[in-house]
Amino acid sequence: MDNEKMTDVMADIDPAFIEEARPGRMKRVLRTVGSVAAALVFCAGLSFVVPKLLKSGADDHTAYGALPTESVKNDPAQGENTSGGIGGEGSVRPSEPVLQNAHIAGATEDPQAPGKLDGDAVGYLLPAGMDFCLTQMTIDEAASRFNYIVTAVCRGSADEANIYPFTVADSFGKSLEGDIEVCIPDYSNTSLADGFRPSEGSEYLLFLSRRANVMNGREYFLAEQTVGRENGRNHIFDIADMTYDELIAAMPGVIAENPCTEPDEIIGDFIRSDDPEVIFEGSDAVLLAKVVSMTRPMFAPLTYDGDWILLEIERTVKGDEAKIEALILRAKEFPSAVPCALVPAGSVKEGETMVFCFTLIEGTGPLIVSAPNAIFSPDSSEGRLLLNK
Amino acid sequence: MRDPDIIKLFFSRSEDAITFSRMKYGAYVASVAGRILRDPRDAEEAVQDAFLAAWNSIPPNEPEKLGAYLCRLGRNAALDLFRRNRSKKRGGGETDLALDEMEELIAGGSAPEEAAERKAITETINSFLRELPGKKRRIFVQRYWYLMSEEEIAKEHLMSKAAVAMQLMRMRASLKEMLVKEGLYHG
Repeated sequence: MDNEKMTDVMADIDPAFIEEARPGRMKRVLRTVGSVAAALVFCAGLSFVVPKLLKSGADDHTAYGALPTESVKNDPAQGENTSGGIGGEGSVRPSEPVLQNAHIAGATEDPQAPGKLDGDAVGYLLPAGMDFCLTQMTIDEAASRFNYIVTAVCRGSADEANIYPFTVADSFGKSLEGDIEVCIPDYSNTSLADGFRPSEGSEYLLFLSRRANVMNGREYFLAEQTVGRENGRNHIFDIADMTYDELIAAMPGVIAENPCTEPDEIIGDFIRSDDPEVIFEGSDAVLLAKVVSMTRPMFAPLTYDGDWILLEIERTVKGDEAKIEALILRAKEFPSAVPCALVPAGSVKEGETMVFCFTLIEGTGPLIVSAPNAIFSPDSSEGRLLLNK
Repeated sequence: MRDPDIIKLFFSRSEDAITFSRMKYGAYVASVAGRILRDPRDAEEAVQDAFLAAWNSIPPNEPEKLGAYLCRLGRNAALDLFRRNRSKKRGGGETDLALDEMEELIAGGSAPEEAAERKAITETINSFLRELPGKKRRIFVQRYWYLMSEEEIAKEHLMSKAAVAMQLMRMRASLKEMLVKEGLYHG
């Protein structure tokens, strides 16, 4: 039998074996990239391709964060989107049935408005590196992946960053008590809209990770999987036949058999200092750059408080120019890339030249401010200090 | 959306079937194609081909496991592209190595003329896989179905590359023994 026929024969093996052997959970990659990249890549994949920026003629002196297409970065364990199980909404709703491009609802209505982009957003498939809100997994995987697994009662509505107040009723994983802030992303106006909002007074089983948002300096928990009696957003595919109470009763056993192996760390943490020296030291790239154009992303926890900006570099004070160059090439290579850096909303204006301190996320881009206050005027004492480094 | 609902969309010839199946399994299919082709553009081409093939084959097919079905289409599309590329001398690398190992698996065998023999071989492989412990089975399938490199498998299972190579060699030998026993090895 020759190779081709053998390959064909293997192609016909029992699909159960194929599913069982499905490679790669990418835990470490996700941990390395962190939620900052996660949210950015997620946003990019879903909705933040800005044809306007692409068309604006970014040249080799333009810094932007390149984001890969889903075919490049997706991992089989990530990037899935399915609704199922207890309390799953089951209503992901792309607005246009096309193979490659997803159209964001309302995107063409007002391209200048925050969160409204003209044109199609490429790649509604979820690229690797995002949070787990839309990731399919088993209950065993969920137990082993998240340090904080609690039942908690929602105490109110969300703030502008979709962070809800919850009170913990019971902890299954690491101990967590009292009132907590939980981000449950809002996907409305996107092809992933599922209509889910936690109801005040209702109890949910939450699989949580600790997150930080450099855009506003906040810390919170992100609900990676949310299971409720009646509603929720979970993609745990093997609990579909269980009631909420049955699941809660089973959780101690599940956790005992699948202890969490992930480090208890804050994903997307940032430099917690206003001292320019400290920020300079902790940043991967320090650039004197002009803001060519900007737009406002519309969702994902991180980017509620951020602006995407396109930069024209005037001087690289610190950083690996080759890496930045690679980002540029990568962005050019992939049409679904987003040419941008991300900064706190309203921190800069179009046409301004500023000193930016960035974190450079290897392999994925883009440039992200390394601290909530990481942008300095070149005329300020802090800016001059950094430029003279 | 659950698989049966997606399949219903295929049957009703709604293009939403493509949308939802890509949302749910696109990443999975892309990763399989990417491992074979090692080139993102080629992989994307294979993914496109796979979903087109799904559109053209459901109906009449009604797969029980949509994910595995789509993945198989992706694998086939990627292998087709790989072969086309190889004929243009652009291929090689890990996929070639895995294919060579498959050849060794049934070394010296003659091509089965009958589809029945091919089916019998598949059944034998399935029986062989069923008898393997879970981890070994995953390693085997990852090597010869997903065409992962030994190094990738070693990382996945926290093993050394040499240990993976050794296990694969033993499993190939066992499978060969089974095929001989079934009269399906023409060495």
